[in-house]
Amino acid sequence: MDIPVEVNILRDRLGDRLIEYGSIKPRRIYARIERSAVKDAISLLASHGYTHVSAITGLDTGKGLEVLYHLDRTGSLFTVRVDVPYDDPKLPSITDIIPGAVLYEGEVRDLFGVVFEGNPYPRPVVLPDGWPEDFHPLRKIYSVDDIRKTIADRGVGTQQIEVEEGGGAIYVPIGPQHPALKEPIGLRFVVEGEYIVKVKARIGYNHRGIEKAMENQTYIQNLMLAERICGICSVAHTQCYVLAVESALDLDIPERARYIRVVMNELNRIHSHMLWMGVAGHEVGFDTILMYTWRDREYVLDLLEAISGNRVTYSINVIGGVRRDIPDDMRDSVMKTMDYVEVRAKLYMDLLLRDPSFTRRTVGVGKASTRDALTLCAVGPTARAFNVKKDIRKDEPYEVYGDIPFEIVVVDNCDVAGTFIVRAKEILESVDIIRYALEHMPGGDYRVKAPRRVPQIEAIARVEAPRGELLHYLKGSGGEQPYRYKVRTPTLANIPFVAKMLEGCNVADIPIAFAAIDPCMACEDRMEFIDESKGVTWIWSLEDLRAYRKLKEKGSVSKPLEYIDRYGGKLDVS
Amino acid sequence: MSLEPELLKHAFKKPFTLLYPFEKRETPKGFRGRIQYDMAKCIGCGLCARDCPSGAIEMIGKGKTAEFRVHLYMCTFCGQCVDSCPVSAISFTNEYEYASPDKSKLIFEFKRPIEAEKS
Repeated sequence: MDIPVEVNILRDRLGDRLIEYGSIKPRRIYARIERSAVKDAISLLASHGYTHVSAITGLDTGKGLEVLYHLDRTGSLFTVRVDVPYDDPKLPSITDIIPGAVLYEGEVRDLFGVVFEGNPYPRPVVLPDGWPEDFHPLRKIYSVDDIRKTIADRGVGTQQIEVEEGGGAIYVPIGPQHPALKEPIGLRFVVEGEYIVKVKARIGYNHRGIEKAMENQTYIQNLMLAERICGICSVAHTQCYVLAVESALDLDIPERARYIRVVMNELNRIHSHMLWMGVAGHEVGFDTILMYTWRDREYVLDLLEAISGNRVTYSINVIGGVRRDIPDDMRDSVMKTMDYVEVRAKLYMDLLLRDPSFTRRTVGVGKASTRDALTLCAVGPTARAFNVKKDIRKDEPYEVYGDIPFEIVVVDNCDVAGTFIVRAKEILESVDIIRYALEHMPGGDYRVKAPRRVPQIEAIARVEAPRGELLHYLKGSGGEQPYRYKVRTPTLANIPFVAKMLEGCNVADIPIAFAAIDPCMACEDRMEFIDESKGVTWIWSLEDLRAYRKLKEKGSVSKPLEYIDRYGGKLDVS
Repeated sequence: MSLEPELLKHAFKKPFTLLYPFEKRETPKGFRGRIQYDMAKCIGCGLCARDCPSGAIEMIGKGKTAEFRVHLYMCTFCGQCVDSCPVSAISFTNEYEYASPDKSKLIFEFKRPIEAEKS
């Protein structure tokens, strides 16, 4: 086996601290290193171009924990593996080398209990506040029942109080439930007058435990679960899932299936971008655009329904090919709709970029530099609007993207208007890809039979979802269920970057600047209260609300703060 | 270009939305609606119940005499059962209106045909 050049550099620098290395699949290199060498290795790789952290995966091997840093350099992934013992799970944080790793480290800390010393994000990332300190759900000693029991015992609410204070600065909390945001994210803004100075983001309001669920289901069932990670990029998730499983199985699928998958992926991208256009119009108060784009999106959904039998969850991808063929008589209707979509996408781009009510709300809003986009590891159309030429379809062509001519859309606007231009132009590129794919689609089979068991092999698949780079990691168990499955969605990757974009914005620009990354989450949990006269902020869980209501009905308390004073042993508010 | 011509065009168009429930959309060919068992074909292998990702298919009994109960309120309409069935005993219908306040109305039972009926 050829030793990749990066491994040689690592070996020279680390010496004995490099334990093993290798490359199982093309574009995938791994090196196992000693714990003490993490920072050296990451900074060395970063100086050789591996500046993008695609994900950090935690793994419970049964003998100890393992942390996998997936570093990307235009289409090749270098996985740095570090063993961490159960009794002393500590690692140095790499956020000073690559700031974009902040949430990935927090996620591994929550789910596996690996402490990253020096990580600036103190609060839980995906778990509820007040979750037991020593309960790390993805460790193998905890079963699904344990997790269910913990949630049933304590509720998903919180006992922790977040008190925000500071000399003269004003804090504005927005979300997780807010009329201006369609997605549940807790944003805390430090503002000076109308301008935002700093942003703190709290995510995880809809952590559904899909990764743990996947460890307990068969590969066939997981296909449907993967599809339901996101309703809008449902093709992208199954695409990534089948790529990971097929790569682990070493399964070669028919050429026709690859073309059908590409068509489905691009139709998915078109409807997702059209949806975003409407949302962007809505966020700046231009609801006419919302009506128009969503009406046009219906035609694309009709097509997807005609091909797959459903409008949202297509279940078209299966391990070993696709479930349904695109028959020749359907090709004409696809082509016809593509012509229509092309005309409309051009029209919207033309209209909006000349419309002062739109441009004044987007041009120069959410400014950030290309460097920020790189260091904070932004992905997808968001990164491309900030002049980062990154597209998994080109960098690491999957299916038949390598054979199809298309351009990566990159603009150097570096603002919200740029994200609009990128998405509008990407619709046009997708239209061309679909036309090409339909014209060049070979005949023959579209499905092969796949085994039900996957050997004990690791596979990493990456896909360009409508929102950006999507990464799935699979470790087979040899049986019908995976040993570990990890999903890193593009929105998680873009959160640190959007926090940066929001700095310097106007308070009124928060919805559109936040919508620029096309966020995709979902929601539940608690409420935050502000007593303006006293300048106190606190968070109540549902139980607290119920208790307060009961007490108020009885007449024992009259004000929320009284309740906290008297009954809030667990709710100490300063 | 400005928005006015586009707006004007739409002023003379019919509304795009359908007046459901008075107007109903025709489902396309291959629509994944409620599933239907052809019990005369079924061999009772149980693959459908085993592969169902949401556990909506309940198998009662074993082998050739097995009967099925489909809990439609759990069904995700993925079509895996139709795909898994080795004898194509399961098919889609084009029904899509199931909303009901009564859960029991959403349980569909498929029993073996009685011998007399068969002959």
